[in-house]
Amino acid sequence: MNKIVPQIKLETYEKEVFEIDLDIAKKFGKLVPVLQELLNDDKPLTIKTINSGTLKKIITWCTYHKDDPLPPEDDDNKMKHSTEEVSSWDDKFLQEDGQAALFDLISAAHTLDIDGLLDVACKVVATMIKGKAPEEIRKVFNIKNDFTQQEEDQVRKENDWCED
Amino acid sequence: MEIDVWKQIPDHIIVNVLGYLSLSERYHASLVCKSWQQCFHSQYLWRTFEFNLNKDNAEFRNFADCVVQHGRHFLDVSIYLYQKDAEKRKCAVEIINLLCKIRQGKLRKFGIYFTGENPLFYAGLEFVEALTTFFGSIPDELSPRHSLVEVNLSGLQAAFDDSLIDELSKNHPEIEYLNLFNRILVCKVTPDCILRLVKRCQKLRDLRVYHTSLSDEILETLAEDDRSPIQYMAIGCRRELKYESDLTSDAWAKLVAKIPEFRVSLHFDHTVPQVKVADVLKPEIPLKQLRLETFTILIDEIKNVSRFYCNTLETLVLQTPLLDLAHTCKQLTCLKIYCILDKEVVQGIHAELPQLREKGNYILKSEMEPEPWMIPTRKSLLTVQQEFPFK
Repeated sequence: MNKIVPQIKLETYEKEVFEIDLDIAKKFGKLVPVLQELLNDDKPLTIKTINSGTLKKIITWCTYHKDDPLPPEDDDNKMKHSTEEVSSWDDKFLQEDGQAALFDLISAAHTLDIDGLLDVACKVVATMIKGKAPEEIRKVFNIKNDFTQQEEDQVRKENDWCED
Repeated sequence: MEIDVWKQIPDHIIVNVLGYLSLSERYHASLVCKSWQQCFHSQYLWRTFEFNLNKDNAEFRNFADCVVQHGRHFLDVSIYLYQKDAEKRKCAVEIINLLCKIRQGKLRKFGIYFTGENPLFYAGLEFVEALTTFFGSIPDELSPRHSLVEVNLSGLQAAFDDSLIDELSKNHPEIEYLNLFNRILVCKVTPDCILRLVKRCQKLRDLRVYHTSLSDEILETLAEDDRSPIQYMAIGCRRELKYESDLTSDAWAKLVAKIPEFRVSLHFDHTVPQVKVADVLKPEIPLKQLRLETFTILIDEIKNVSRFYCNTLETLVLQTPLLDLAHTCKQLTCLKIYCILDKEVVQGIHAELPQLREKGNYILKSEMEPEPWMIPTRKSLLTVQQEFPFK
């Protein structure tokens, strides 16, 4: 039994056109207000800031999480979202292509406003920071230390109350 | 090249990342570069803060400084506390005491959750006292304090009393969500106190309390004009029911007539005398969730449930009868239950009856699905009963 699934078209930086099921596209917060227009329009919407590899990943992620239940509203002991661990599938999926890809994904999730993906990707980045000294963090993310020695001492002094 | 990658990430995403880190990890991150240092000082980073005083967490001695430094940005604070550890308890009380002193604070949501077992004879009085002071505190005589909007004390295993709730209702008129459903043996909050609460807090939309704290008068007040309609009420029923009068059909009916979308959740635990269950289950209650965790046989009650609540019921938990059934009826190869069960119950049934999975002849759901199984009908409940009487 073949059902016709409504689709929208997106064009990436490489000018590749993707057809995306409406169910998936609904997760893209930025597109929600224009979905109806896009459905009627045969011309794809161009998003220059997103490359094909990243969009493919996003579609895979959204498809995998399509049927995730919404958190129950009237749960009696609502615990905070942030205490939830990243699932091993997500962890592997987000890290398997390296850091640059992960940051492309974060930018794209931000551009398209995909809350769930952005949050889980930020959590993954946070786990990469956990337990590391500033110098190690710089090394992992290839960040330049732009403090002068004097500034760094100052910052240390200001914030040292939170050092355990 | 990858440096450029980082530059493209907007600050607020860095803030989001830092938000998942503990205090000392945030500190280390603040020393990485100038832009991260700025993010560390962003007020957005401190809007939601979880004080983690769990068993395995040693990093808590600087929490007090954190409140002093960033408390004015707090919007949503939760405290998770391993209450067996006296030093951590002391720290949690200190945090609450410091929250009292934040000038021009914006705190809207507050929750505290114990994560261990109470020490013997521990009644959490230090927390009741600290919270009473906190709810009544006026940090700044000149500018009025912000009212709390959501207060969740469901994880605080302490004996609440009227003065605690009165301080809350007197000083926080904007309360919309209040959860006092804390699963301990004693609840001393009287119906008079909750009545004062619903009179003072006209925006209340979600209230979770014990049956012993309710009265017809409270339901009547909630049905009055000129207040935000209440949406949800969770009610815990325990042994005290023995000594109480029930809420009357009349009071429920009036409230439902006034607010058709109002829904109720009822939780019965094993201390409830069996005869009282049927008394409490009034047909007028717009019941959405029912947990009959009573260890007793409830066939008649369930018949009534299917008759009374067919239009509203979404969740039904029958803790014991089903597990007992699975435990005793080892020959069972087909079990179809069309209402939504607790995950643990479903797992328990599968553990007891591995043959169900092998034969594949079962329907056990722990999550809501679209029609036709969404609302348990009279017929589906009767099927359960006729095929497998709980005996």
